[in-house]
Amino acid sequence: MRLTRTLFMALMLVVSMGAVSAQDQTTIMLAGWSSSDSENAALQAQIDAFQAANPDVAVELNLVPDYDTFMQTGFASGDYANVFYVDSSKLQDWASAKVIAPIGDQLTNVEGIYESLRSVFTYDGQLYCPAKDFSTLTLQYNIDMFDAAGVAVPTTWEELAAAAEALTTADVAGLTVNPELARFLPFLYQSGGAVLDAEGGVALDSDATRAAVQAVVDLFVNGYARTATDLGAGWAGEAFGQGKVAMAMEGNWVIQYLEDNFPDLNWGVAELPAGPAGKATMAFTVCYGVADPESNVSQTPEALAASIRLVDFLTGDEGAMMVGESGFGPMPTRGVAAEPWLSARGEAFKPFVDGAEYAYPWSFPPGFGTFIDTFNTNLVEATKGNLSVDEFVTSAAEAAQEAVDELN
Amino acid sequence: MAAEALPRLGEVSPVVRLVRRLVPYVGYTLLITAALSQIVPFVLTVANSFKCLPAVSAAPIAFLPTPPFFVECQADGVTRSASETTSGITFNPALEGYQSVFEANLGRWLFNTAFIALAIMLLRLLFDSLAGYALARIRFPGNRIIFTIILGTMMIPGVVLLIPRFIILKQLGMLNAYSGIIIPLMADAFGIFLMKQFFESIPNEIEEAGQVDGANRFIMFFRIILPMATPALTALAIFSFQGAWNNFLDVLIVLGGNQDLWTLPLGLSFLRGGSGRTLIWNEFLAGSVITTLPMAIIFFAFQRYFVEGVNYSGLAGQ
Repeated sequence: MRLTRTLFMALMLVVSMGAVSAQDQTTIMLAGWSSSDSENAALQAQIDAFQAANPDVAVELNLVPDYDTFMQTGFASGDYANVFYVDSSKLQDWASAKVIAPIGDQLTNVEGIYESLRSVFTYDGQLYCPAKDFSTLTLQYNIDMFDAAGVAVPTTWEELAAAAEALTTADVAGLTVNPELARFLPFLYQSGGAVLDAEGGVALDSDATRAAVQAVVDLFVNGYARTATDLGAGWAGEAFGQGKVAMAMEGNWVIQYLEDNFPDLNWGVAELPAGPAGKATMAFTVCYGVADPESNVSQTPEALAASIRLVDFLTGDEGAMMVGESGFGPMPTRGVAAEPWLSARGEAFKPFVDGAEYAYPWSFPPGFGTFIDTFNTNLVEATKGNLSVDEFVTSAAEAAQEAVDELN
Repeated sequence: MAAEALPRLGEVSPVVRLVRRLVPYVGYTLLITAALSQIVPFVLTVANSFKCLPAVSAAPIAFLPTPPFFVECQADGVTRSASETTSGITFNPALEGYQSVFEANLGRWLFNTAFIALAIMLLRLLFDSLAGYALARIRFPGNRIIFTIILGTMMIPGVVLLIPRFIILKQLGMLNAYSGIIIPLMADAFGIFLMKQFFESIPNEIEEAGQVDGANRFIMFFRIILPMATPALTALAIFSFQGAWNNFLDVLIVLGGNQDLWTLPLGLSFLRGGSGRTLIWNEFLAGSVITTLPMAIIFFAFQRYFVEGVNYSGLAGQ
């Protein structure tokens, strides 16, 4: 009886102590999707380092499947994660819906983040969230095939076309690239074109666009470029790994994939060939969005402060160094951490880092989904020769104009 | 004269005879093609789940396992190349996929799935049959209206209820808990409808006989009526279990926030990855095999009841 009572008292004490310490601690949830296991582990290590330095904050890391559905339900109910991944293509949608708060002016040394990555997450003149990490598009080439054909790595459009021609055989295509906007945009920027001008008007109907389309269409019509599907592969990285193609244009995600699946492949990386207007590539990036207290009941003033501190740590100099040293696929967002990333990953991957200086964001205003669909469908037709370059450019400009009109 | 040219009764022309002889072969060919189209993907799923990663990419159609069995996919920290573990048709089985899928918490997801599916199935058997019996046999005010409302809920697409349900569960503090998924799904309109229809087909005289012997409602229900309803209960059990086992959307919304509570469909979707995660084929396929296997075993064991259940309910795939 006595023992029971003592045990009960002890239990009560433990419970009440737990309650006290729970009151002192602010718990915030960080939601995202799963990347590779090594990447997930690196993020957990960053969070552990943050918690060691900030014992008053408890961070729950929550990597969910079907992330968009999970977040949309949360947004609709007004109760969602305090900090969460925001893909660059979602930024304008989510910022205009006011589910993320602009915290750019509350971060330390925000200038250390690459300018191109800051502009991706700037909406209405405000920096909403700092980029977590990023990938750029580069040219991957099969060294054995290049040696056999005696071709140098292309650095211009002309050299790209010549190399693709020389490398194309009955079994192997010179280049694989999907006829879609995300892979076409580098060509457009390399020729000095753009989808929208600085004022938000449509700038597609230009000679620069026509030149870029012509360059891409020529590669396909002559049979030097083929799609991954056409080559019997699921995506460009697979076709490249299987040796069905000599060159591919993919991003950082291709590194780990090729090393895991095709350990024998002898491949190299180069910057995308420059066009008439110079170099350009695409940056695909994700930021840590902080929930807007106005639309999220769990974003209390304490949670908001803790969320900003967490994001500042994860993307600050120290956090970027941790991303760099872990050396997984995507790269740290600060120039200071480029060296550790290269030494962890290998100097051969420098073209990925170099792209950060001249990369354009993968980001569109809300409601541009239909434009992208129309663009992709018509580009496929153009590469098959069913649509002339002029017809294609006119149709793309019209689709963009519709999207812009819808917006205003 | 003309009648002589006509074939005699019972005699058929050679063409017809040839066609008749070919018909079974055409049938067999069609059946074999259909069976292969179902079996080959499953065989390849199992085969690829036992390959080293480079072998999956290099020879996805290699399906003959050969010794040495259970080879290591890494040698001195370096991934072994595809040619070392596959010849294009044969492959050396490895456990890499299964090891990594269990490291990814699969055992826990398997337990959660089984627990949730069993709980939902048992509760549905109880509540659906109780409600169905009440609606079929007991006269009380509002009987018809309640039944109509219950049927009406079947007309509402599930996705519409997703967000209201999420908000209610949040307010009740039932998110990220087993109860949050089990309690909202422990009775369903289809099951009540199924049971009511069945109970109405049982003659009243049986219950009257029970009443004469002094049985009350509950004794009658549990001792007499329920044992007679085995076909309907089996159908309901199978549909409930299968539905709960494969449920994705409800589980994502309610349990998505806590990895320890995930079920196999969530786990598989997690392994398949979203943006930024490359699919690790052998791991993903090992997960698929483990997800499919229990349902396959249950199906083969209860095949007869499955078919009967579908016949009985007349609602295949509900």
